[in-house]
Amino acid sequence: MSEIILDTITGKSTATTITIGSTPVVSSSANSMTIRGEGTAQTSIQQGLCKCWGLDNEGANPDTDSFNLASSTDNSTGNYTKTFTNGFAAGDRYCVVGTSNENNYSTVFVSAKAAGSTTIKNENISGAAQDNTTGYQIDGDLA
Amino acid sequence: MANGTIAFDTLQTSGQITGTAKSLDTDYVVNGSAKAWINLNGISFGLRDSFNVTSVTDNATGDHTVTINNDFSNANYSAVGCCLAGTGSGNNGQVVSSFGTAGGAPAGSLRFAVQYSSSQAKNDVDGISIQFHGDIA
Repeated sequence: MSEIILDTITGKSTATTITIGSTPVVSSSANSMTIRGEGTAQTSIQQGLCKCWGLDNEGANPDTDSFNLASSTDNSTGNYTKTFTNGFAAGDRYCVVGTSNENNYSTVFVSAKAAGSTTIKNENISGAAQDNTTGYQIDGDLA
Repeated sequence: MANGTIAFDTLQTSGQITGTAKSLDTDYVVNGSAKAWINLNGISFGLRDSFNVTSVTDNATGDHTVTINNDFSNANYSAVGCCLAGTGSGNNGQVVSSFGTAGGAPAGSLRFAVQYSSSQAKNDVDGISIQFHGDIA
């Protein structure tokens, strides 16, 4: 068995591919990189990576911190549209979850989904819209 | 032909997207990647899209089970869910909650409910999202 020890591999261009056997493990192709998980099963890095996340202090600082988020639109109390920097392949296929601070049993839910944006709402147990500190994460296929 | 392995500890970017180079210990890639996720239509009942999921079962109204393909190594994984609003105006916020006690779900499946937060009535709804994080077997 041979071993190469080095500090950095730098591709000649962004299209550089690393291939082991006949399988590209790093390439510009979609869904092309897998890793071994904590046990013996393989898992896809592309499918497992969170493609967008954010933390909102709604009403005060809608984008406290975020990733892959271009902007937030304050539609009304507890009603925010999140526009992605890099959109998803389809609006009805990605997975979005969120939670917020406890505020009279507040509930985070999604009212609209499109490839380039999603609208997240907050309501309390009585159905009243309210601004909360809200975190959200989105998985799925980027365009 | 069997595939080989590249073993390394740190990922580093050139920063061509954000303008700032970043590096990350690969432990964060393995442990931080979602191991499964779903986008489920609970009305017509079918997966719109998913990752590492074998099937979904419609047990009853607002009562469903996700079966994982490559199972988790134990029941101590994290599952977080969210869904589209129910019909009607006001009081239409809904929650996704798991059955059983914390850490009590089987390593290979999760039974969950979709309920109105106001009335707790179970309901079938489109756009159910659940993410799973944890150690796979």
